[in-house]
Amino acid sequence: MNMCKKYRDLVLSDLYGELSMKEARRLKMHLDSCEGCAEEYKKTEAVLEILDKRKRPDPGKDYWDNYWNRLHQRIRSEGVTPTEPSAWKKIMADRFEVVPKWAFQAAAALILVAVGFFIGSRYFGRSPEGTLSRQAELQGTPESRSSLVHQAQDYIERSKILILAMVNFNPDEEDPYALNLPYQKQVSGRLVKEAILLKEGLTDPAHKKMRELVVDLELILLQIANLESENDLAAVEFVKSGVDQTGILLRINTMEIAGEPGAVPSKTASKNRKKI
Amino acid sequence: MIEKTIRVIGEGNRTEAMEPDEQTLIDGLHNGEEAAFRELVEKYKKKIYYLAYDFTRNHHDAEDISQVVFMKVYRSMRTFKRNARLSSWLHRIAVNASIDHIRKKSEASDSMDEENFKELPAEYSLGGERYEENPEKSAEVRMIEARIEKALEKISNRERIVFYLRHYNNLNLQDIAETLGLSLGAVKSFLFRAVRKLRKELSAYQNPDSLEASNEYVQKIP
Repeated sequence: MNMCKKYRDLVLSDLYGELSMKEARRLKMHLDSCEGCAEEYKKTEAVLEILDKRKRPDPGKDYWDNYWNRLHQRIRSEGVTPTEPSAWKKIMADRFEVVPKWAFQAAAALILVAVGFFIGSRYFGRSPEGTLSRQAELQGTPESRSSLVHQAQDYIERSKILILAMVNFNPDEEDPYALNLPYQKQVSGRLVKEAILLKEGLTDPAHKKMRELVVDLELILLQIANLESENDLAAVEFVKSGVDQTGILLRINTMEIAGEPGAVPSKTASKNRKKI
Repeated sequence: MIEKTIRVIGEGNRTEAMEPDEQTLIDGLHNGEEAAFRELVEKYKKKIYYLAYDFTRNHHDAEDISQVVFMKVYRSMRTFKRNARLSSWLHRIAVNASIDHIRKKSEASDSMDEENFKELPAEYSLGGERYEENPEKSAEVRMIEARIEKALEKISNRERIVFYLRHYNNLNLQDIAETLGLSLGAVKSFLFRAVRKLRKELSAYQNPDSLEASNEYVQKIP
């Protein structure tokens, strides 16, 4: 189906009457202005109408009227009886069934947030502010330059992994769910913050290429961080084209291979060097 | 602008939010009341039968599966969680029972043929119309149906299950996600792919109401 990817999910949802008024209005406006999508809408509607022609044979009134009797007889003949809930289950049910479902959901959400904070502080805990003050302390010293290069490398490496996940994502073959866009957006947001600090630190002319790379990566990551929705596949395509145009993955790999100042062999270079 | 069509298809109704009656029904089931179980059977027997029929395309198998589903429900009705959705639970049992049944009878997968029509007693109808009342139309309808069944065979199992649940059993996308334990995005994705493939398979049907077009098309089927 050759239609704008942003609207393709909406078309089916609309044809099955599952769009909100707002979404339906948005789709209508788009169909009014996009001949391609309007044509696709018509064709999809037509095929669903053809599929409606498949009717299941009706076994008839007698069949339905006697359904219970036949089932009841079978239940008796097979000696099926309801399983009694265990005493423990009864106690748990009596105690917790009065608690509304939302309370469990809220508790689960709180636990998740707490776990998220723990993981975040454990694995992504380098705060930009902290890095900045440390950079300020070491500004101009050989240690600071070396530290910055390593930070930049680490930054490039993590950005590359994220971008590769998007570039290698094929919406025709894979579920958007598998891409986990909300997570990608979150990580991109953090990387953008780091980029701001790195740019300020990478002032040495020897690190010009690395700085340019950081700047270009920042733009791409900013696009990802600003994706509108969790299923914004059209925007993912836009990001992909940005990656292609800047040749960013090729530049990263070239830098790794050429051993640019401070560059060390990438952990993922051999694993992830695919679509560039 | 194309006129929007709200699609209400097949024997079932659009999936309802939990009705007030439903909680009473669940409470009754939980207490092991046979009257509540009977009410459940009367309410869902057609939906479960037709869902099983979609999988097996065979009346006797659909009957057997639907009974197995209700027996499982009967066995575990006292342990069913009161805050769970009855419809999702039933459909999940039905999907699993249908898949199990097909696995056991894998050799009988190509069951949408003349024999199945012959199996049905004479009073069975097709689309609410008896065959013999309009034999010419029946032949056309049967040709189209056979073509649709062939097209449905060409999509993947997961796409087909999602499509059956949405198109022929009128479960909304959120309920399908709940029934199959998938994310909403995954359900949308499977449905989109299913429709895309079906569109390709059925593209020759430009005008399905035309008998000439159908005949011409049928000749192309090997």
